[in-house]
Amino acid sequence: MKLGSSDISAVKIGSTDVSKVYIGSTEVWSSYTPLLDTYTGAAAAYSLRKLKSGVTNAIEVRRASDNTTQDIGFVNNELDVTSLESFCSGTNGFVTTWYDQSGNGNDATQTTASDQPQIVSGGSVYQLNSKPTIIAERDQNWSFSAISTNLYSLFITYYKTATGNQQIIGSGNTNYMWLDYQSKQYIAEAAFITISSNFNINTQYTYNAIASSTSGAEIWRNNISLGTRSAYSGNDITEFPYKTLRTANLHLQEMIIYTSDQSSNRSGIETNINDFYSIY
Amino acid sequence: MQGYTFQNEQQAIKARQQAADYKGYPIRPNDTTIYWVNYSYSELDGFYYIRYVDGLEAVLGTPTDITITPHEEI
Repeated sequence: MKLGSSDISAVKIGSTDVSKVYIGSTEVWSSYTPLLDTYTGAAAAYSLRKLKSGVTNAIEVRRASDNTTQDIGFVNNELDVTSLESFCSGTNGFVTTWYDQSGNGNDATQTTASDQPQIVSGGSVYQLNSKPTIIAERDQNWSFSAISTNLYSLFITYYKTATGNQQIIGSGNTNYMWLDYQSKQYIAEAAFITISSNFNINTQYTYNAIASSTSGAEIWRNNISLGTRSAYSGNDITEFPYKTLRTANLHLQEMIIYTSDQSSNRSGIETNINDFYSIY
Repeated sequence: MQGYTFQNEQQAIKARQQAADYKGYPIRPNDTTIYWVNYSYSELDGFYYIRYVDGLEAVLGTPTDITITPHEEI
């Protein structure tokens, strides 16, 4: 059994903090350091766990019963499910704002009620792999201030409920990227990497990419490279998840984007995400 | 899909506001939620539309079947 960060707050030898505890060769406890404390400089970061020390709120939720809203924060670095289920007791809850934890204030918002992704159904928080998750139905998304994709490193967890072409992030009415399109994975409009195996439905993945419009891109799924490509023409992104032509519901827990090359940190960030969500 | 079509953006904006008023959005002055439904524009079909959601017929009447032509995928 592995203990969580809430079971033991700290382990010290003398006055020195210990980050991991083993019994034999089995890790039974590790301390929790928010991802962005270690891997700084994200352009935007949305998550249902705390990604940066000092961040107080994860989401703003609208409850269906009376349309009032409430900010939901964290307990022991994870979403405060108790407060959320109390606020949404017996009703549904929708995420009006997914707060940006990067410190840049680029919150993802949805001003239209019918387009707001859902996190609570009948008073119970949706769960994926024993962690809270947001479900964005096909016409639901959030918008944020434009982020350039001429140079970016993106990390996302997602799970789709239907086959077909599922756009993840996009911009405007016609530009799209991250189109899980048959054997292709788009990293910008008209720029793709050919992948050897498609994403399965009803399966959670981590997915990341490092892309430069001038020198090319590489993408990874569950920390395995899916391929590389050459230079491309980048677009700004403003929507997550992109909804035009999308047919599946998406289960979302985290999306972090840097407008910098995080090649040297990619494996560490990926490991941090998987350690928390236990995806592969 | 079921929905409502409009020949110009002004009509779509008016319908969006009628729906928001019916629901009473925004509930409070600074609420994030200000609309019930929003409109989209179909470039290849040349019209604006609002997708039907449960209850919308109380404001905008009986929805019709509408077909949106997607952009050709790459």
